[in-house]
Amino acid sequence: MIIVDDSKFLLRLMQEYFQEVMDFEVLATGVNGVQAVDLYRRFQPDLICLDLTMPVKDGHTALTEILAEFPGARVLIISAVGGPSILQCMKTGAKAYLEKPFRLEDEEFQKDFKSTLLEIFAK
Amino acid sequence: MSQTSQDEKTGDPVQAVAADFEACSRRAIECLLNRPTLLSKSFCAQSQIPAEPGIRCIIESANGDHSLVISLGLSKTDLESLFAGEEDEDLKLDAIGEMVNVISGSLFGRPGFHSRFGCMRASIPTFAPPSLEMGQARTIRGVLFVGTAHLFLELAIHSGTRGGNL
Repeated sequence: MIIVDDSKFLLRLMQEYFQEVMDFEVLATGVNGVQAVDLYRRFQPDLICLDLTMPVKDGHTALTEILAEFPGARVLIISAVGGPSILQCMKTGAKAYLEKPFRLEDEEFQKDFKSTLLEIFAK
Repeated sequence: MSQTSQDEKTGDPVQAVAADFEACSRRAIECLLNRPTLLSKSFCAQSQIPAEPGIRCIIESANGDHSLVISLGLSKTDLESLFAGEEDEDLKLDAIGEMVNVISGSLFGRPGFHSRFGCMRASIPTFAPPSLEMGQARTIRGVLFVGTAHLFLELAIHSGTRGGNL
């Protein structure tokens, strides 16, 4: 998988979580939408986690470009911005979304998140 | 009568979102740090100029009707205490930026905020002074404790287009 978020602090937390708790292999991380598209092309991962509000190129633009080139891409949007922006991403083709803030250590969160991942991979 | 009902009755839309701002701030900080927050000073509209903390991260937003600045300030000593053992200085500031980012995103999505101030899109967090003119802004201020660290939260809202669009 690949994780793209402009917060290096959050990237580190999520990378540790996905690797140590969820048993994913994190192939690469990026901090903007340009890197998201480049990294997707290079690794073509099973899953990409994508933040929405990022400098250089935002998450929705990156999502659109990735899906235009790889229609089967599994994209999980992770963002503090709810409402219309999330709906727009789901219409564009994101598989699911996760709203910040979340508590990675919380058991309820982990249970819900595992269900979300199962749904993404079943689609 | 609840405080929120009183705020609605007095017609102060800024004070009316104080509880939302406090809730969003506490949740964002607690989730990102995985530590509890304690309320040091209640979140309410104030007019006095606060003491300037050493570090201040802001996010700005504006639409045709309102301009706003959300900020989180703290001292250098308190930054060190929040991230004791962390040697990467950039990462500490980045975490503060992410807190402000999450607070603003959560707040803008709240129905009570959206219905009063419309659709807002947050800027990227920055440690520079605000670019918007906020001289006549109404400001909600509150202070949270995380351990021994004081975090100063502010939400300044200026109604009218004088602040300009981002």
